[in-house]
Amino acid sequence: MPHPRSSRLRAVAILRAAGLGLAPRGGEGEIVAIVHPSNPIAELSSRDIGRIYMIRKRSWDDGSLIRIVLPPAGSPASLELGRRVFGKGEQAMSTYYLKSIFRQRIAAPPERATSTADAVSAVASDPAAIALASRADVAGAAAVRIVPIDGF
Amino acid sequence: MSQIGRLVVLGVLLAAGPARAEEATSLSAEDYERVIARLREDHEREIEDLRQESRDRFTALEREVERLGGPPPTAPDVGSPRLSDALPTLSLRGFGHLQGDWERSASRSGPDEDTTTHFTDGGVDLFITSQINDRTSFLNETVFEFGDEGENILDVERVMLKIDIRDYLNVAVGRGHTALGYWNQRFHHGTWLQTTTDRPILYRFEDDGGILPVHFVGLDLSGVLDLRIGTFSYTANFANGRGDIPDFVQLIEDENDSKMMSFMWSYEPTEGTGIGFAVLRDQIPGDSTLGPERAHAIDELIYGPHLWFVEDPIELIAETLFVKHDDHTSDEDFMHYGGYVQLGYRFRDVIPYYRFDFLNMKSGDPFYYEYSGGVQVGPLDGVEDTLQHTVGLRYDYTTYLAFKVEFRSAMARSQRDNGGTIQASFAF
Repeated sequence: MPHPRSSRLRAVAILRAAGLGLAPRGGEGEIVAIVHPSNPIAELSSRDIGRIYMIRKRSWDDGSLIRIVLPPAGSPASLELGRRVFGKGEQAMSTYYLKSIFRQRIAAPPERATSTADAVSAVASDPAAIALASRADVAGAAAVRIVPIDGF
Repeated sequence: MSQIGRLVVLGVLLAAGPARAEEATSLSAEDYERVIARLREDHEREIEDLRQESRDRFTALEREVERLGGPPPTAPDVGSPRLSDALPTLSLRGFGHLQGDWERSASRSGPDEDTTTHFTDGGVDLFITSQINDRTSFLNETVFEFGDEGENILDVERVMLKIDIRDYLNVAVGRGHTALGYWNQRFHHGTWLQTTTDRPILYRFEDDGGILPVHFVGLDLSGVLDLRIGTFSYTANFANGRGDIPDFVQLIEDENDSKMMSFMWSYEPTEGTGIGFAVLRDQIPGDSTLGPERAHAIDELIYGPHLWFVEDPIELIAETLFVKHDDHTSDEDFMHYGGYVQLGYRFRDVIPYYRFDFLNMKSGDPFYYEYSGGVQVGPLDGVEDTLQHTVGLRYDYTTYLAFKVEFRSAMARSQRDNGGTIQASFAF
């Protein structure tokens, strides 16, 4: 059965440290997290992203529940999330959320943004929301805050 | 003066009442009115500031969305209800399976031999979930299946109301899966979820010759502690416990005051790898109407480890549980144990797999006997020493539809069984 792979995240981090990452940090193709401007979080690691998107970490440090916004289907952010966190791509992500419903970790799959603009809109209107996007797509956005992801 | 400070002054004034406030602070009625008017002005100014900030943010958002080429966003509505005020969400999902079986049984003590082939409609496992508010969810799993005579059977397998307090503490109440080990928490009635066509012998359902209390009715506490070295999680149950026979899950009453308590913890260095341990304690009530052998209670202790390595493409799961019964009627102890090791390897959409099951039952335990008319008839069907090998192939035709072909060979104390299953299992 397909399963997420934190070890794969470590491998990606090692590759990146060796300069072999596919989307170098700071580059336009880099995947970043976007949060509400009032969210105090300064940085996120790839492990944090894995924990949040796999429903292992459900609340921010202040106790508010994290609202997960999935990237648009087929977008670079969604493909990277599926590949790096869920191990086998977007389909594995859907399977994982179905199993999480069965285990009553969640009652329904997280909402999926229809476009990057939709993701920005969702995050800008909810202090507890988080979404992923390519840096190039959200560069200069004032209504949301960009948080780099270490090792992603 | 800060907002809080002003509110405190206002509160004191209001609590004292206008007359006493005038006395205590030498404020005239006019002064009092002025204070109120000043506070009102301050509030209105702050509200206007917030509105302006919201408009500025929306304007910035509009510009960004325009730049990104997306649809125009809806204006932020400060008064819109949060999830906690909105109607509960409801979703309906389910699992199902259809299969064909071939089975051949031969007695180990005589010439009796029996071969059957049949198709089985595995029924439908309906799954209702609802997010009642931000932190409260509801789950119901109801299985519609068919009995041996083709009769309709409706089994309410799970009804759980759960409140997520923090990551480290979730509280649920209802009927659920007992915290016994890996399989019982991850898989249950939907065969699509599991690689194999059937459950391990150890985890057979109570009404299918199972030796474990795989369901409970009561309280469930669970949580996760995420540390740098990995994730620690726990699940604890405080429940009614077993009835007087293995098939009796006490849904609406408890025949004794003793409650079943179970605790399971696990450590996962990565998401797909972990080890754990479970322990359960209960007192099974006595029932002399069954037979004199069951006149008094039985103390039950179940414990054992489990481990798993489920990282694509490898699936390795291993569990063992020991069941100790201290029978107050005969003053004898009975120790049973069982377990399994399951190994699979994914090649794209195909997973060949193998499982080894073992069950070792100490004979004479009155709990695992059948009774009729106040007389002990014999051991429960299927509850005996057994070694079983299972080999199979799972093919994920689509994400939510899998075909499985499986062969089993079992050697039990009383008989040899060989069988095969072709199964289509799906989620919808």
